[in-house]
Amino acid sequence: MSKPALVIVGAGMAGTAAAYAAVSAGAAVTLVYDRAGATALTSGALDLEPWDAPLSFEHAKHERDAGRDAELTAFLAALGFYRRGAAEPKSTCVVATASGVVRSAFGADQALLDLSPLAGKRIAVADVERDDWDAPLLAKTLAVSAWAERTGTSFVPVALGLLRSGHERRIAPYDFAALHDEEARRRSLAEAIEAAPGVADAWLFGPWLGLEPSTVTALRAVVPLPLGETLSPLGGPAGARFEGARDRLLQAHGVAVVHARVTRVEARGPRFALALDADAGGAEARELEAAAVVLATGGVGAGGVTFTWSRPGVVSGFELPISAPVALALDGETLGGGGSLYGPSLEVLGLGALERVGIACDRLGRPVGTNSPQSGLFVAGDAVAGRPRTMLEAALAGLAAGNVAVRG
Amino acid sequence: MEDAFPAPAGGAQAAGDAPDVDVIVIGGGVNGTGVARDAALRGLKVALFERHDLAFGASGNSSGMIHGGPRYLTTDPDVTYSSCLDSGHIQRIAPHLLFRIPFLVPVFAETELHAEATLATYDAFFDVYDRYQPLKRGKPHLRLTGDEMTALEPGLAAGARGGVTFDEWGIDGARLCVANAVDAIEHGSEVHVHTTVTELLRREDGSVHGVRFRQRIDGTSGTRTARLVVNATGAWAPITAALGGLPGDAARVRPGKGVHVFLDRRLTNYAVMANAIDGRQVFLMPWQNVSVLGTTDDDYYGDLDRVVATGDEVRYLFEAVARVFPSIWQARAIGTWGGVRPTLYEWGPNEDALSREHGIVDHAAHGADGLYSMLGGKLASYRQFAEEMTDVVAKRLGVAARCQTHVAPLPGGDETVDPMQLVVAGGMEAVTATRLEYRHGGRALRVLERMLKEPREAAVVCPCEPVTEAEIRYTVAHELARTVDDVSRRTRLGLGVCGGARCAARCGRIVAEMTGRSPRDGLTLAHGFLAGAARKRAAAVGPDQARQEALALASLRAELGRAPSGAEPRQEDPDYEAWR
Repeated sequence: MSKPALVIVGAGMAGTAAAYAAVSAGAAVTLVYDRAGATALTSGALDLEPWDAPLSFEHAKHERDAGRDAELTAFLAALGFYRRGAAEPKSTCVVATASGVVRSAFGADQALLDLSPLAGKRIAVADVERDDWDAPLLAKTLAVSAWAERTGTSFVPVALGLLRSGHERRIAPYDFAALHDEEARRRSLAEAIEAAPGVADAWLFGPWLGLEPSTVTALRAVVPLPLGETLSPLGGPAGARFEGARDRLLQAHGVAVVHARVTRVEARGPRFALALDADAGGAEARELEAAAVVLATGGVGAGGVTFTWSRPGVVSGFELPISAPVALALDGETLGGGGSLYGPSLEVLGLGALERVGIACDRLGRPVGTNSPQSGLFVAGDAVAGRPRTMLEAALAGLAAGNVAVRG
Repeated sequence: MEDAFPAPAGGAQAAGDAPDVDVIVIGGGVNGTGVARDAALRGLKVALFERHDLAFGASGNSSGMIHGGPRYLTTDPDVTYSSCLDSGHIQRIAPHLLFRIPFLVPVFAETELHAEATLATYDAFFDVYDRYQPLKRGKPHLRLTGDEMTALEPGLAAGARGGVTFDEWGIDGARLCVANAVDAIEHGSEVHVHTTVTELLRREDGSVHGVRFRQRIDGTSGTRTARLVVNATGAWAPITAALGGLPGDAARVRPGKGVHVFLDRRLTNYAVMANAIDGRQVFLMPWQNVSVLGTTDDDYYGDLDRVVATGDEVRYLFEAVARVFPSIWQARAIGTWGGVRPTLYEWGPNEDALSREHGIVDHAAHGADGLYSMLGGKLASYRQFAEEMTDVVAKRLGVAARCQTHVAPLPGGDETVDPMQLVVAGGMEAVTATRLEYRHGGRALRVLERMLKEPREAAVVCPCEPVTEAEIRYTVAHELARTVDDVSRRTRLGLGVCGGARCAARCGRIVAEMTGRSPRDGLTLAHGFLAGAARKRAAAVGPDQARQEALALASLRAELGRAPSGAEPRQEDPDYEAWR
């Protein structure tokens, strides 16, 4: 294997963005990852700040230059995320959840229904008799949302016979979505919409419109009305669509992808050595060399930071599962050095601590809090302590890290 | 809105009028609902007031056993006797709610001689306990070798030199309270949930003749008068007595907090006993769909309305059980529950040495004739305690009718239903049918009826437990559920591995719809449930669950977001302008 200039660890939103930026800047990039993280479980909404707590993070905003915004837009488009208009910051999407919440988002997965152009219209909620979907109740809830009441938008359930068996009533949304990647099922879905009674201006579906981004595109080509999904639940099709789009993007941009687990990142002079575990595919344990490294390994949810709660005598708490010259921090304090025999007390910190813990970094994603900070090492996405756990944050941090890692 | 429950008439009665009811019972735990049912079966008119929900306190947060109390055998054999006897009665009246839990007591002594001595002691002890077992159809104990113990429970720590078994019964305490309350209603009682008593009404001579109340959901208030008032509020008993201006020691209890941790599945086939660091006995037991780790017993000075397990209590239990069942460290805790025992007041003894006896206080002694307090007691002998209380009430009111509660079946206990019948008739999956039948006994057929009438209601809303929409609607229509928490207490909805992430929002909207509220109120109910459940889980979160929690935070944020009742961005929100 050649000696790549930049190695990125992690293939979620942050890692993918870093790879995109670095390749665009002309670097040779290798992306190493082991398993799915939080991005693979995305709802499909693209937020900059946590939607429920925009003010809880002190420095949520990135310093973005104009060039970065164009880069962001191009990157998101390449991934199949759309935005309504490109002009910052007022042009947002409006999306709905299966629980009947209507809310704004910076952008959204292409397959979601953007309600913003549909204000004041009549929207059909596909009444499909799945166990996890109650269209009449959902329509009723959406109709009394603040947005619908303000804009005079109505929601009506319209029966749509999409199920082929009782089994399909109970399978996971992911599996039901996969069915519509088949052309025959997609065609009969389009026919069912056409045959449905009543006049509506758009169709709102559950998260069922394919694991492939092309499925919804094909549907839209034959159905004259706007159609799309609600947000995906944990493990729904939006995550699968992200993964598909990511794989195509990495391939198109010539990023070398290695499926392995990184166990150690170590500075060797001005360069870095990464130890890779043997993998299930039969590859031996080996090392990679890099001029620069981006850690985009995720937070607690992805397994990028672990929480151990072990036997007496074993120091426990938050840990980074890979060995690297970085320090973990929580709420501005560097972790480690003892203080608690049994680990941090989550009932005191609150479960939100699981979203705040991460690698201590400066504003540019460079690790701090260790005795020997390494130039050339960057961190992005949920792996960073105290940054919002959002898709857009990860994308921006990834783009920034990819750029800085290459251009210095 | 269906099956609306009218609020009690609010008009205060003029002096000299006949009282509204014969007896007012305050408290919707097992003692209060037990008394309400007993009195109603004897033909008395009863009104019950519960500040929160049925089984909100100790009744719904106990170990979930009607055990015979072998713990009390040496100090309080009367408690053991009455527990075993009443356990037998409860089996007769609610057979669907009981499930057998065989216990293993492993012995890990250092030497064979030590083990032999310990086993001989256990053997002799349980020989005595066995004499009580027939009262509750319990099987006699067995003495087993170390190999036999390991064969029964392969997860036991190495080195068991032997052990004994003994036999107990599990029960869902919340279902027991609900069954008692429903039967009381069907015999003419009023049951007011989420209705707090704000004052005990007293005449000039000091006697108590009614209550002032406030409905906590809609804020309405009023008064209700009665010939007698029974304070069955468990650990809240002194607070309730104070509402009538009674002295602080009139209805004193010594509140003892007990917490349990529950884990995501049945980890063992048998319940396993272990010794904690202070020598107390704790256990790990398979219970319904989960495993339960319990329990602590500590004096409690906190807020009774917000009892939450702490990390050190959880750790104490894990450390104890890990000595006999080491893989507990890899198990996944998905929640805790905490309750406060209303133990009889005594200054001095440590918590474990306190009596589990119960007693009735006639507050005539405090100048408040007509008011009685039920203090102490335990789940296993609630029926006996309720009978004693109702005997006092009946005698006082000149009612000759005898107690029926030891023979008259509770709702659902009068008829057996084969879960397969539900599978065939309703198209339910077997596990759904089995759980439904467990909770409702013969009345599972009524839930089935709903599904047959409205096939949509067959939808499984909570896939973890599982719970169907029909059952949710049934608990609102017929079992007084008013919030997602209430439905959860009755069905275990939202108490599985996903912590309600998949079902709470839908359940909230169903409850809201049936009680005449907006779907937005339903989302608020869901938020309340999810926040409460997260608070109860936080102390017990381990490595795997930590990942789940972090993902669930993101997922719930995406799904429900901030203030779901309005879904309104704040002015500072960057999206605010676009929103407008």
